[in-house]
This record gives sequence, C-alpha cells and structure tokens, in this order.
Amino acid sequence: MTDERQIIDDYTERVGRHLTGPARDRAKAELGEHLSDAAEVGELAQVLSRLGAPEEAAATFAELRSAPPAPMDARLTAVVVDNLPLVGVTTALLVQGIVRTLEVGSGFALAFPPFVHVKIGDGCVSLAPLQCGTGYDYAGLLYSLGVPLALLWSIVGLGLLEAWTGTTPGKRLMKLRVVTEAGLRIHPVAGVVRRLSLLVGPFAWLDWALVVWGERRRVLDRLTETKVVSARQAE
Amino acid sequence: MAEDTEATPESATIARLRRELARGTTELAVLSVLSVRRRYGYELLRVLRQTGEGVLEVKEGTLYPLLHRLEDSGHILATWEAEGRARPRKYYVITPDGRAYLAMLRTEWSGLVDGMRQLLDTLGEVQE
Repeated sequence: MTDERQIIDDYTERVGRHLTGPARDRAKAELGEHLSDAAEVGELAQVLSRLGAPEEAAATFAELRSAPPAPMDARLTAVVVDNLPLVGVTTALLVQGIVRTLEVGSGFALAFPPFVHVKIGDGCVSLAPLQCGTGYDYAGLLYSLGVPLALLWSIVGLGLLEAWTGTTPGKRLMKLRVVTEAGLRIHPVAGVVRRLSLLVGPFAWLDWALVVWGERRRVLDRLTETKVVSARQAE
Repeated sequence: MAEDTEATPESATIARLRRELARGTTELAVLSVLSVRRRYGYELLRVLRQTGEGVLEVKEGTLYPLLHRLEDSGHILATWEAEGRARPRKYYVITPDGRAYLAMLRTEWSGLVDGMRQLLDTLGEVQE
C-alpha cells in the first residue's frame, strides 16, 4: 500500500509539471483522488496504463483544454499593461522628438513598437524605411539602451514568465492564461517565439491583423500552437 | 493506448466503428448516470465501463475533459467532500439545467435510433 502511495504521488507530481497555476493544484487533486480510488479496488496498474505518459494524463486533467480563446479586448489591455516599459520608452522618444522639432525645426519619425536595427560590422539590418542608425540618432541612450532593455523585458522576460507561471502581470490582471492547444504549460521557447513580432517595428501589428476578421488568435499564437484563454473561476 | 492496438484488421475496424458510434453518446451516458444520483470520478467511470456490456469503453481521457466541459456549461456541479476520508472526493451532481439538457439529448437519441431502425427495416424489406 505504501508502495502504491509512492507511485501515485510520483506520477501526480510528474503530471503537475505540465500544468501551471490553480489549474495544476486542481488537476493534481483530481488525479490523486482518481488513482487512490483505483488503488483501493486493485486497479491502479490498469488505470496508469490507460492514462499513459504524464503529459497525456496532464492533457486529460487540463481543464483549460476546451476553453475558447479569450476576448480580444481583454488581451489588448493585457498587452498594454505588460509592455508598459516599451510604451514608456516610446512615449519618451515622442516627447524628445517633439521638443527637438520645436528647437531645431527638423521633423522626426516614430513608430510603435519602435523600429530596431542590428549592426553587423559596418553594415546594419533594419526594416525601417529610414537610413540605418540615423533615424533615432538624436535620442541617444534612450534609443540605444532604453529600447533594447524594454524589448528584452517584452520578449524574453514575459516569454519566460509565461512558460513558468502560465501568465504575465497584465494577463493576471485580466484573468487570462497562456496554454498549449492541449491546455498544458507552454515551452519557454514557445513563450519567447510568440513575442518575436515586436522585433519588426510597427509591422508587429500584422500579427494581430486577422483579429479584424473575427479571428481570436494572433498569427504567432497559431505558429507556436498556443492559445490565450480566460482563467477558470476558482471553486 | 496499448489496449487499442488490435491484432487483426477486422477487430481494428470494429474498434474504430465503436469509437465513432460512441462519439456523442458519452455525454448522454454521463448525464443519465448522474441523473440517478451523484457520483465521484472513479465510481462514474466504473459504472460507465461496466454497464452497457462495455460498449462505451470510456477512458479517463474522454471522461474528465467531458466533466470539465459539463461543469463549465453549468450542466453539472462539482463539490469536494472529505466525509471523514484522508483524501477528499470530488462529487458530481446534475443541475436543473443539466436535467433539461439531458431530456433534450434523450429525445434526440431516441429519434435517431428509431429513425435508423426504420431505415434499416425498410431497406431489408425492399431487398426481399
């Protein structure tokens, strides 16, 4: 009996690793009860073979599996909250640009998310219609340090947070969660990749384009096989 | 998954056929069992697997997602109860909404079965 207890606890623990947040605790409780009841009538082995690998069992008990994608207005609000550093830096660039225009009289260009460029030796890669590096020259550190740091948070920071906790500060506020199509915890790589659109400047909005036609998933949601859903109400 | 891998092609076909026919009936079966009295997960699974001569072959992978769906749609209610045990059990109860939904499912199912029987009988007569 203690052997079975150990098997049940180990299996439940391994299943739990594929889930995050309150959903994980609920799934573990449900699975633990199911396995204990099976052990009581001597059917633990059959049940474990039916459940299969921990990942399959996690999909069985993942309550967000059938959850439909969350409404887009909640998602957009979450995006603004999550990307506040980037919004802040862009706003600062805007203010700086306006001040400069008033002082010097020259125009300026700005986009959200800001265009970024990568210097490779003497050359540089950018999607910006402006000459590389000259576009935001006046901005100094704000552009050369502020934008990369803000993007680092928006892409890597938020991506890893989503993989570890299943949510981000903005999503938590809007009661949203990110899961795989089977309702499981997403892989860190998927978490980062689904945010890479921020690197292409304002073209990032193309990622959201299908929303206009009533689609509830971004292009990168589809590519990474993830979905954003409304968290289930706590019992 | 191991029990799905059948040896002969015929039995594989039968297994596939059963799965397809059973699709959509599990919901009816679950709500029907719960309409008699409340059950906990493992108990519900055993009742489903044992009655109906195992036609349904319900697995955890079908049952629990279905229970979550029925709970979300308000057709059933789930409550954890300790009842003096070391591990609490999650009991599933059918709601008034669920009963109305079950009545609808039953009507649809009977209509389908009657219609199919009629069709098969008529075809039998035509062939004779």
